[in-house]
Amino acid sequence: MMLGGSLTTDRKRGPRRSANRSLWLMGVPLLVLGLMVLAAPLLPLADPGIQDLRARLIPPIFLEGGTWDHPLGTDQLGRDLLARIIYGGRLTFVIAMAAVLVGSVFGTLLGMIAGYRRGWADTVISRVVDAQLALPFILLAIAIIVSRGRSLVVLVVVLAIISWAQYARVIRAETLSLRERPFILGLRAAGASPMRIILRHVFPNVGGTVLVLATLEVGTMILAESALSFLGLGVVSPDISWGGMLAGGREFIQDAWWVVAFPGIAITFVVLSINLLGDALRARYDPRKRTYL
Amino acid sequence: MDPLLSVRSLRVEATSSVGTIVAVDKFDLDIYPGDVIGLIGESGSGKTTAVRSLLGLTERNVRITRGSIHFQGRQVLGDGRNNLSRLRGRHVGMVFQNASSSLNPLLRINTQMRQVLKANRADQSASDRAGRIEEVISRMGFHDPGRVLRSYPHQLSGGMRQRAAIAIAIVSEPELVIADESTSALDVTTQAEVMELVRELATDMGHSLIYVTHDLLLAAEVCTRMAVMYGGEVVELGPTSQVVGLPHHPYTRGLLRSVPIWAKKAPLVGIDGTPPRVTPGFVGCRFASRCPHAVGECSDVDVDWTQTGHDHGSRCIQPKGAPLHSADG
Amino acid sequence: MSFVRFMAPKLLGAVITLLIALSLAFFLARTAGDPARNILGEFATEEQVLAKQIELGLDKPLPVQFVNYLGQLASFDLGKSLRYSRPNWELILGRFPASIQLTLAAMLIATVIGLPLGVVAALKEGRIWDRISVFIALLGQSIPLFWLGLMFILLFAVAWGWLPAGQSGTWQHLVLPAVTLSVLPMARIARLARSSLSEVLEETYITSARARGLRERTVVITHAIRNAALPVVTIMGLQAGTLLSGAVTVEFVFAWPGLGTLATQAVQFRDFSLVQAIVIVGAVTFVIINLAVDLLYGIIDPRIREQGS
Repeated sequence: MMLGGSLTTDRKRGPRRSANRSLWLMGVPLLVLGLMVLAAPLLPLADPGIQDLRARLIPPIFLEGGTWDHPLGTDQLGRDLLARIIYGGRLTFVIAMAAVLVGSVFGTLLGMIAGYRRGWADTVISRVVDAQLALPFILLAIAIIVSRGRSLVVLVVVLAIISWAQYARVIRAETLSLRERPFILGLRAAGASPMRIILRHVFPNVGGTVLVLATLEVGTMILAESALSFLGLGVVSPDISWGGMLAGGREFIQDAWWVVAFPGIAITFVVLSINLLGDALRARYDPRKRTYL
Repeated sequence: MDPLLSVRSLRVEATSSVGTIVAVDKFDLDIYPGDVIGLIGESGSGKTTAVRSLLGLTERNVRITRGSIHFQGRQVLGDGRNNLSRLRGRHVGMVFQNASSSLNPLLRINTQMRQVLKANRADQSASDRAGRIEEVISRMGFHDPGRVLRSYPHQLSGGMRQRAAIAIAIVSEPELVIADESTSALDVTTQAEVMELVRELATDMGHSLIYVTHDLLLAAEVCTRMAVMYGGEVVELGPTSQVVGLPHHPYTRGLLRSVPIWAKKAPLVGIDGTPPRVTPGFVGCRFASRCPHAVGECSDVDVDWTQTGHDHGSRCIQPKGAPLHSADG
Repeated sequence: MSFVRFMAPKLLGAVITLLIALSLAFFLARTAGDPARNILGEFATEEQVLAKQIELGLDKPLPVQFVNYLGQLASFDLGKSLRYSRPNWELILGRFPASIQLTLAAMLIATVIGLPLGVVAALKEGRIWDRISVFIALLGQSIPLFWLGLMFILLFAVAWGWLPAGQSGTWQHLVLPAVTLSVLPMARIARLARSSLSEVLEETYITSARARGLRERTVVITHAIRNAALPVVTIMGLQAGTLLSGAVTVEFVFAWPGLGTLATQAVQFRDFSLVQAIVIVGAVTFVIINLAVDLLYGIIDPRIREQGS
């Protein structure tokens, strides 16, 4: 601000470079974890579903009584925790990804339409976004699941309903400013159809923001899924998810803390990595470093 | 007469991830009571950095690395001392180029003026302060000074905000006022009016004024002396009449030729090229790459200051002192 | 007068938002699902389902149900609990004090820790303190709170026995749930305070305030922080609104007798009517808190106050 142009532009390069570094720093562990979860059946792991009541609540290897057969110990039914965490990650990831996909497609589309068309379409969509954000998400999820019953599809839809408004709000704002840019004005003057402009010209320009939001939302979705599963409203036995594991282990916390501790650590690690990755992506795609509420 | 402010060989460096840049170098300046001096230069010439450094108001990545400053005979910078922040408000008032953004939007003008007095004039009683505020604001040419005092910045027009900002800068009776118009967006008439007001107020009270601008014409109208900056250095310094009438430095001549009313019959020309990036190892005249008179020596050795009159000098190895329209210009 | 002009459109907007939110809650919970069948379970006979539908008014066409629903809302009737056979509002009102207590305590902790964390980060931008507080804030947003609650219980209640593991009564009972619940708002407040303040610190009026000879403390507190406060106040309002009825998992973990626990109990008994009533109350409190935040805006920022006139 107070120095000439050359100095100010130089200063901007700093955060970008470190953003690139943390992109790698966060991206690689996540990728490794993702591959491990994908390749779970190929890994030398115990069957996550096999119960062995003689081997109940075996502590992890670094505690007295631990064994290499169960490096992270076993749960209340004698199932191997390490295997369950890795297999549980599969469903957790699939649900989170599916919810993000559905939520981001709907939210982005509605956000672009609201921002581009303005007028009544904008009024309606913006009001619905406000209304959606006013509903306490976990209660809404409970209401839907209570009235419709529990299933994976319902879970994904519920999570998508929770998140679409976030995309719509941010993308609407981006589109609003984008539509006044000369190249869009030119296309409009040339008589290109609104849908074509939105899909071919607006979308590529908000794509970076969508990517950042979607990345961060994967973390949010994992947290939401684990909360719902913990309350018994999401994934339930015999399916395995991290939230479900926490729900099952809760009663045994006094005798076997590891049953509860490890799935929680897994969730925290993954969500933290995703959030760091999202922040790094934001620094890269959004130089204004805007904070999404 | 002793100078009010005396700056010697000030050097300011800006560090970023891509290296260090010398923003201001070999900066010498004496300001006397009642002086009205113009600090002229393009954007990036270091003029704003120079004056903000005088108050220690640089950004985090910008540092003063050399030089000394005396104020009223007392050393405030150099020899391990840095008391520049003590000059702020009490001794030096600053008017920023964009008044709208230099006023706190959440505080009334009155509050902002009172804060300055509280911070800098602890000796005054509350009623003294109120009296002083009344006195200053009534000289600003407002129709309803009381209303201005009660207003928030957004309730005032652009011109009124500018005046209010001036009132805030001078309310604590600083001996020196710095007006930074370096990238001014105000329209030319308002700008001239406001500058005239600042000058009047400053000189009426026997105060000095530094006027930072890229507008040579405006500066020539207001200032008694001029310092021309290029690439972080003062390249020419002298009385306005001499700098405009008999410029020594090729850069000053180039600047003058780009002002229509001085170019007169000669064609209006700009200066080719762009200012150099001055890194710490930079040697030679900073203008050499754009100078029509450059000789080999210009780029090889650092150029010393040449005093040509008792108050006029420049930083050029062959100061011409030629009138603007001479054939070699 | 200008105050009325400032608030009137906001009030109208809030009412419209609320109406849409309540309609959303209605349709999301009814379309394509059959609460009656779900309540009775898969072994119910068709007659039982039909009887239940009639009892709940679910046999009528959806638009009629919707009109009935709106009619009930208009007369402040939240319906009757299927499980407890008592008016829902009675049950909810009974749990409100506990929820408010927990929310206030959590927001207090979140503000007292989060605000300084963000301010320090902004003032020391790019340095080690900044990185540490940014990381803490990010960590706070990444931990599943119910799990953190379980870990707190494990340490402070089970292992060391310093604090009670659950239920309510004394201030000791409040500590663990409030601290657990404060983590997310704390992280949000810290992050937003940091970004907002570091933006304001770049403003000319901050340099200008320094140039006026004001002390650094005055510059930071009365000039920078006050200007940076608006977005932070917003997020605090949003968070408080969410906590009041959204602290479901944390209340559940600590058996805290608030709205969240009421909701989980309602789920166990498939008390569809009670769940719906809690959602409605949650949306209403959220919108009211937002209105209060708007009001606060007007007090903080004179520019916003005058927009209406």
